Amino acid sequence: MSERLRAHQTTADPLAFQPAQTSRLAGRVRLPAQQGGNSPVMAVSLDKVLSRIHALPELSPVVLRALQLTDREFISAREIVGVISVDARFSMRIVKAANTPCYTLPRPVTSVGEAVLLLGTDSFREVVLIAAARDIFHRDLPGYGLSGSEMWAHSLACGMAAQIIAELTEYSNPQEAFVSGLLHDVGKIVLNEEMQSALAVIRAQMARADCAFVDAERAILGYDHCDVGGRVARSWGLPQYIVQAVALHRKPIVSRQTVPLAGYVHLGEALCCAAGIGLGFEGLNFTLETQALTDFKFTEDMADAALSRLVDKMSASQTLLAAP
Amino acid sequence: MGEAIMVGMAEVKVTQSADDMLIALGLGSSICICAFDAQASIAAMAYVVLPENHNNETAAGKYADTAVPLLIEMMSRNGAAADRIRAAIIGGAQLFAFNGTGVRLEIGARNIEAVKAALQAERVPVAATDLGGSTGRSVHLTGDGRVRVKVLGKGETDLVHLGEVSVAALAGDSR
Repeated sequence: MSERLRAHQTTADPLAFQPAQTSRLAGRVRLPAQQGGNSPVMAVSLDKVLSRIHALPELSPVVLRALQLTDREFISAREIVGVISVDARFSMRIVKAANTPCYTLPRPVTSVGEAVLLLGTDSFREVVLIAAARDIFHRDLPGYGLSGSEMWAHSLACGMAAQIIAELTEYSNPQEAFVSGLLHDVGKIVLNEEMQSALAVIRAQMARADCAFVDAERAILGYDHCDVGGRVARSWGLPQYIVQAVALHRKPIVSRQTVPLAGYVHLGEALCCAAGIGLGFEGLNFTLETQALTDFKFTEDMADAALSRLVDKMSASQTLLAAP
Repeated sequence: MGEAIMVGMAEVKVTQSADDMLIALGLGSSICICAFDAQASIAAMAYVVLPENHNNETAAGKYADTAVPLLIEMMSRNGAAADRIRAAIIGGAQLFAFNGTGVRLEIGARNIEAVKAALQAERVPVAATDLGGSTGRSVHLTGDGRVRVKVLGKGETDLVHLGEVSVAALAGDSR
């Protein structure tokens, strides 16, 4: 983990659960408590929701091992090929991802070994992550108004946008921002079922309280997709920086400072909203924490440049977005 | 049977078939420009992402200031006359709220201003608009000039029939 990240990382447990009525935005949002009650309207026990984590597709041992190997500074082509080639479907997906125009290879690759050699460590790591995340995120979420392709496009675009912003602001390890962005909405997959029955009430809450979607989600259910997503990331044994970025991506300011990776994902998601990528029912109903812009010295011109690069990258990634 | 023509981010597309439908999906802060020449029966759509092409990028369709001239050029090449073109503009949504002070990302508002200015510079009258707010929109423009806007979860509305917009109604109006 980078020095800069360590320096800014919050010591507070990002998953320390804060019930809806004590939310930092409680002053802005007229929570159900202020309408006569003192608890979320449709509280479904968080434990019950979290029990569904086990129904998510597991990261296969091959994928996990590949991710561990790609976490090293230098990748041994022989070692990684040995691990990945056991899973033919995963290998095929890696080759397909490597051949997308955004990696500008001198020639198309036909094997994992070739992909390692031609892509280099950083891009190969990215390709492995994309291939691994595809199965998890390409799924219909009617509770959020997202088709499988929209959900996958949003996840991929948020990873790319977070990485672009990290690069523009000279963060030492932009790929950490990519991974965090790619996985940021995993909580929506788990909460989709609750959302299908709660959506009408959540919309009514947004209209009544004039609040953002995620605040209504929290007011009605008692937790939001960030809380749940952080727990999924932790249950998968992912590094703490990812757990923290997933859990805090909508509220990345802790102790008046932006938590770096959560902040990159937060701004990355704002850019995805601007680009209209995977909006769903939520639309642009997103509260931007402008402190993150200040902390990263992220100007309006940089935002335009980042959005322009995101559009180009997404256009060059059509094969990643297409149905399997 | 007409064709459904998808118009992606930064693209400009034209059709001469009244049965075709130009479609822009998932507009956020971006702006969809629908343009129509009723006499030549030529429809076009541009999907503008950002206000100004500062670096003279080749992707002219991405920016309001270069997309509008490109749109008119493409329509003219197919037989449209610039002074007969009528437009509708949709999108330019904004993030719901900004918590804190200082810099904001108001791309939607800047896009609206830039698209209006670029259309005005080319003397293209705007017959209808559906702009701002914080909802995502999708737009359908049929080859005969009808513009339909869809907001996810809120249904569809007919915004305007550009083929039936009278010049008199737009006289002096270059919004």
